[in-house]
Amino acid sequence: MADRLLVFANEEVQELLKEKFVPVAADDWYQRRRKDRVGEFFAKVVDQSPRKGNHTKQGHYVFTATGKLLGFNNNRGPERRLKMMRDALTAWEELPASERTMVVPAPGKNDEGFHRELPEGGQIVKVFTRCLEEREGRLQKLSAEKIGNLSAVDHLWLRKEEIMKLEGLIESGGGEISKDLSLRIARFHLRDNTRGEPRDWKKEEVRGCSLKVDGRGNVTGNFLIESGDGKMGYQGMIEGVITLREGRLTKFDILVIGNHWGHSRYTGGARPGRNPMGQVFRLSEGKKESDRIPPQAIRWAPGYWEPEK
Amino acid sequence: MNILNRIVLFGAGMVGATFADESVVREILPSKEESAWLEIDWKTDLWEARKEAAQSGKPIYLWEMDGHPLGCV
Repeated sequence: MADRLLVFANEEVQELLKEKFVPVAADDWYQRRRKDRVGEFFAKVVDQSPRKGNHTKQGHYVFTATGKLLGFNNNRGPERRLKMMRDALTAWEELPASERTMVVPAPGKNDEGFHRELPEGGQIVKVFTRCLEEREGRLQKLSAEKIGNLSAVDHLWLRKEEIMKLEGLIESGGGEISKDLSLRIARFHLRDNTRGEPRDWKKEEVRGCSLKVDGRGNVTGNFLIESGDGKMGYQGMIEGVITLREGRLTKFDILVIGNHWGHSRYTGGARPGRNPMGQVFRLSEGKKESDRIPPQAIRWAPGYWEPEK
Repeated sequence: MNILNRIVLFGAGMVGATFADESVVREILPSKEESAWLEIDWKTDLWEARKEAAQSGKPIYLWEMDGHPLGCV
């Protein structure tokens, strides 16, 4: 998250990326495992970098369409990144034309074990999460100097049949939202991802999650999720509105307010004790590529779609 | 949901400041400054980026993180 604000919000970095590069972002968990042409191409680039032989391939790479590495770093802060980008551009300028480009063949079949796509007819809901604190009698974002003060984003994916089921439920006067969907939201989206990648909640850690919609689409709910040792948890309330037309969601506005506590392996630095956290769910049209990022928890795809497993 | 009913969810101050208050939603959503990195037209498919790089005569800039940089945290 620090890169987003420190580096990629920097005007000079933005200008260079927009004018001189083709920017692409990828999840290393999938990309380093792919056994297909994309994975082979990425491995060829990595093997020219300091990441060769490492488990993780995280970092920032500049390379040609032919796969020749021109620059790499994994430092934060715009100055070192800008230097790497400028050095790479100098190396690019010195290349003969034949090494800069090529006719790129078709990518071939994706390695489905490490490639995720929104199912046909599915829809995307963006999930924003932020730690909050009470100041001046109301909930506000944390002050700027505090760790985890930024808003985090993930994506909830819904299948066509789940959307139609929701429409049917509202048309019939409302009731409890299906267990598959409410448990998916609880296990994989009601969590603190503001300081890093959180672990998924286990099924048995969802000690309670009630999510109801009435005949007008008004959503209410509450939940308690807690690790077995009680050291990490999230408890709160859900409220919002869902509207649909002809089997498609037209609105999915949900607000979650609760208290969270503790941290998992990659989310250290949580505030001591129980503290407020808020989440906003908003329907996305998925027009930008950044809106179509798979949910973090869909690495384990069968579990994401069938969370009772 | 009995367990939830037995537990006091929030302090009184929090309850009064939540659902009916659109300002809480604004506090949670990313600010303009926090969203500035999305002004870059990020691609998410390395092969498509490779094709565009070949056609446009530009090098590729790859941001690679464990957890998607555009949507994990």
